Amino acid sequence: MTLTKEARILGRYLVNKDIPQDLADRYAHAIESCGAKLSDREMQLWQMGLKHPYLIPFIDAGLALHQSFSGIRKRIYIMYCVLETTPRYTAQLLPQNRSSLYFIRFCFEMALAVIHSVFGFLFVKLYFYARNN
Amino acid sequence: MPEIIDFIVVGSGPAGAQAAQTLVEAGHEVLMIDVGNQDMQDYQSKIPNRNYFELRKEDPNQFEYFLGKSYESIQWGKTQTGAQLTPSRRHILKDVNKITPLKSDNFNPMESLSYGGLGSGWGIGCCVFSDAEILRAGLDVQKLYKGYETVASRIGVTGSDDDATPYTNARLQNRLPAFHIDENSQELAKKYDKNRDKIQAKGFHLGRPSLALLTQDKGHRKATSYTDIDFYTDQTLSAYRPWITIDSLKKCSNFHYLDNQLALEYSDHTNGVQLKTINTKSKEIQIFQGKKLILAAGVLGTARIVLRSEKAYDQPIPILCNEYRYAPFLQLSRIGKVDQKPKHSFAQLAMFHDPDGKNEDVAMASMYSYGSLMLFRLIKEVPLHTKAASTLMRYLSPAITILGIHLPDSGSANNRLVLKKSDNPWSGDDLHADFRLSKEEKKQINQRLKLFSGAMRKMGCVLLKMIDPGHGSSIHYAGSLPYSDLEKPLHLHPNGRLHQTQNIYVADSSGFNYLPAKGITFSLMANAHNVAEQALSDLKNGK
Repeated sequence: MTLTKEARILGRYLVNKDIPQDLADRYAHAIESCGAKLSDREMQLWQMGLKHPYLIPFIDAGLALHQSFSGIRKRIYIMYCVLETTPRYTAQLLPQNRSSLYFIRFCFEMALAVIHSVFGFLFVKLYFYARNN
Repeated sequence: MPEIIDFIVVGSGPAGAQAAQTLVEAGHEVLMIDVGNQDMQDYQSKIPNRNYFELRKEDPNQFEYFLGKSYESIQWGKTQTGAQLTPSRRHILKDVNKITPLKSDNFNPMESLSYGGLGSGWGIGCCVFSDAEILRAGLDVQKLYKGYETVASRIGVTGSDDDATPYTNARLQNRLPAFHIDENSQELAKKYDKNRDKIQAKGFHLGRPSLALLTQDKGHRKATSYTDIDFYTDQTLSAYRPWITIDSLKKCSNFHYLDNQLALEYSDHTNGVQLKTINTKSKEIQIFQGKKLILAAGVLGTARIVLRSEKAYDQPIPILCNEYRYAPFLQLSRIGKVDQKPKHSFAQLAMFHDPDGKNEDVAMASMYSYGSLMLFRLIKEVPLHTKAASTLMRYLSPAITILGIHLPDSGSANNRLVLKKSDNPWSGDDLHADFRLSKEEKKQINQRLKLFSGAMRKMGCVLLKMIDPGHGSSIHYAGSLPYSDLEKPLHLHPNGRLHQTQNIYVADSSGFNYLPAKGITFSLMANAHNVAEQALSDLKNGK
């Protein structure tokens, strides 16, 4: 899979939007500059995630607990950095004033995140165990 | 430039800049020797002088100066010393690992070969030392206060009158009006006022820090416009940087600045001094002759030069370094409230822990709001998937106050620098460091940090994480050539002259026998001015 396609998948994951070509190019350039190479075992896991993007939050969450500075997380992180420094996504990524009711939605999103973490951790552990054996 | 210059100054950082200014103003010929790396990407010129939030919402080129052209701001892995440097500041670290590496398993300092030295990334805190701290450091109280006044009048230092005044600007006369603080800090200050008795009973005092920040125009330098982009640019020159002084001195006919020169060693004679340098581009060796030499290369840089010149290889010398932690605290009452009003990026408040009320064994926490730092710096620390980490930090970051906590250091036999011969192609040697804390020291530090957490709790703040970036990360160093009245090798006279030499002076903090937690830069600048005055007097009197 090309870095451009990868960028688009990550754009949809992080900001729920299709990103334009210039941002995809910027992501590719950042990957080359930052050196985000993946090991063989990470590459297979990553390819699985890119093929089935609904797995990415689980992989990301699982690695956040299992191997927080992995190459896969670095790639997602790089995309986040690119998006955060792009004005068209500022509204989504800048802090905003929130009413007290937002706290309820926040708790719900965090509960979902914890579920991603639990299942993601199990998934990643099983994946690496299966791969080693 | 004359063949034999009156004064050679090594280093363009805070100490070198102040020493050079004193010498130039006295009418003498001054040569500054410096490596002088600069921001070759010229990031600062790319940053519009607008409010941080406006830039974020509108500037399509922001990725260049927020991430860097080579995305050098995207740091992955455990946080290291210097990781917080924005792209426009990263030149501060350039070439250090290549030319003057420090070897150590347990000490990770920040050094600089840049134009303006570490002062280009300085947090501009300008606290004065107390009388007890000055005496403990081995200096003269009256002289240092005179130095404080001189430097304050040159660079502009804010003052305020609050509970922190004894620790920040005490008796300082030359003060600018206080800066205004952001909403988070205003609320913190109100909570402190409400719980003052309880908080002070534990030895804590809160107030505005003194900063080298203009709140009024001063010559060509403008008052701060509170755009909160101070971590990225110095365009209005409202925050003092040593290169501002060097730029001004370059207009004087008796000041000569030579960059790309790494000072290697001196030889001291009755009639003057010779300084040997290596050109960092061509590797050409040069010899400069002067009547007096003033070393201001920073504690570690000066240590290399002195140990090499005195042929003191494999001979340990002490090193003092403040222990440093940084701790994000969550101010519960500020969750969901974003302050987009004008503010500066530097410390808004400072909290001092003075357990016995004697203003001697004082720990200091500088308090920053998480305003103009990007969220990506936070989310990699969160053990959730990236999207959830972003949601979490967008909600919480406006309520985060980061404490940068410094603890005083009186030195220990465990903490040493040693210069060893090596195959380093620039100098033929490397500086090694060993820095350890005893169990008792660690215990005391942890106890003190718990007290800081307790004080913040009383102000409605919850500790998120206490982060230890490792020894050396405070970027405050001292004591490698301790002050002594006795004529001993590798020691300084309190007036700054290197013992057993006639013409060598040290203007940085190498001599300080005690390193208070209050931030050393203002004191070392004041001392540098005094050392320069001493060198002037000695030259005049034929000493």
